[in-house]
This record gives sequence, structure tokens and C-alpha cells, in this order.
Amino acid sequence: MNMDALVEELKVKLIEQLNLEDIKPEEINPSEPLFGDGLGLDSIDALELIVLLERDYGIKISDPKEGRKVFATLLTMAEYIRANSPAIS
Amino acid sequence: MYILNHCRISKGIISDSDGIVFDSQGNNLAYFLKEFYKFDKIIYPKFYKMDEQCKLAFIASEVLFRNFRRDDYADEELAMIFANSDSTLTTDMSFWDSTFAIASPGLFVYTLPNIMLGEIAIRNKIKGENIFFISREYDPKLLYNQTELVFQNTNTKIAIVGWVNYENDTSYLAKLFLVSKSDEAKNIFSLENLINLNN
Repeated sequence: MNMDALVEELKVKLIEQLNLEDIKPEEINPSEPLFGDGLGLDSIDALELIVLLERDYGIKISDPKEGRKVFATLLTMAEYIRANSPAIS
Repeated sequence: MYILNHCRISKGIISDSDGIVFDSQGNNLAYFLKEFYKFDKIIYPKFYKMDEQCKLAFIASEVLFRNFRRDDYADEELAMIFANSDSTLTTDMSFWDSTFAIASPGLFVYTLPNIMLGEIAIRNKIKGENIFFISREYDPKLLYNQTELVFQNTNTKIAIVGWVNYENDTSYLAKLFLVSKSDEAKNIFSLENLINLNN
């Protein structure tokens, strides 16, 4: 799966997993912060993203410092998945 | 103690002190509350993350606060006194099911009934007294006495008092009162108001 396709897939999964019903995939800027000003996600959302990574991409994140970098933006998340997921080739 | 407003949500109907606010009989609760959320032009994306019981409490509080002069009171002067019989049983069971795969943190946060108080408090910046009673049998006297106590022993001026219980999409009830300690309104808050949940 190429990067663009993965980013698009993540947008859909994010909306579904985090119940972001007011947001459409095309409204998510992959370079914008996921937390704080960007999508305004909270700490529970962060936990849901960890679950998503493990369940859908076979990646376990146990170090919170690592999570902070991985979930900075949708793009950093996609890059991390591409580099670490056995499910993505 | 005076009633500034009340809200009742049951069987697809939302009503307040002035009568029926929204009627969506025949639709399940999730659909019905979402329709009201859009109808009332509420903008609070966290609503979508809540479980059904929390949505029920949240919408009831939104209706209660519609014409309330919130800015007249300090954050610490508002209290919440709630009760129900099912606690968060439906979400507890959903969460239990999720633990067989990977437990959902998003579900877990709704496995305590006082999350309803938390969500309402965050939305309305309420920092006063709060308590949530869970009992098999509805005990209106307990709710009433607790309201009196809170008004007598704290600096509370306004209290949200009542019942929010969700069993399933067709069996649910929210009945909340917005009660003022001293702002005179036409209806006095009494035990009678709490005794009958069905009107």
C-alpha cells in the first residue's frame, strides 16, 4: 500500500474509531496536529489510537514518549505504520 | 426551593416546563437524540463519543439550561444530584465483550455513572457539589433530602436534580429539575415533584 492510500485509509479509520461524526475525511489535513489545536483529540482518543495500531496494523506501542511522536500528525502515524507494520508491504 | 425548569425524555419525546420540545416517537434512542442534537444546533463534537445513557443526560441538561442565566452564578454555586437503578450496565456489558479482543478505552470511560455528571460539568463549567445514587428501588425522598442538605450546608445556589436511567433503546428515562435555592419562580420544588417519574 502506498503512502497516499494509507493516509486515506487512516482518515476513515480515525473518524470511525474516534466517532468524529462531524468531520469528513477530506477535511483532515494529514500534516495538522492530531491533538490540541488540530482535531482536538484527547487522552482517551490517544488510547484508542494505540488500540487501532495494534488491532489493525499489528504494532504495539508501550513507550508513551514514542506515542507522542507517532501520533503527532496523521502523516507521522502513516510513516510509522509503513516502517513498522507487518501488515503493510 | 424553586423549579426554574425541568426536562423529561422518554419514549421519543423531550419535554420541558413549557411542554413538548421535540417529538420523535418510533425512532430508537440513538437516532432520536442525534436528531435533536442537530435540530437544536448544538455544537459539541464530544457528544458523538458518549454512550447512550450519557447522551440522554447530556441532552436533558442542554434542554434544562436553554433559558438559564448561567453567568449569574459562580462555577462552585451549581450542584448535581442524580440517581438511577441500572448504573451503567449496558455499557458495562459492551465493555466486557470488548475485552475478549482488545478492550476499548473509549467504552471504559462510560462504565461509571458519574461520567454523566462529569460530561455535564465540563460542558457547563460546573464545579460544585455532585453525587450519583444507585439503588434498585427509586428513592425520591433520598434525592429530595440530599438537595435540601446541599442547599443548607454548602454555597450551592442552583442544583440539577433527578433521574437518568438507560436499559435499552426503547426503555429509558431522564427526568431532571433545575432547582434554585432562592430565585423565586412560580413552582416550588417539593418531594411530590420527584415522586412520580411518569409525568
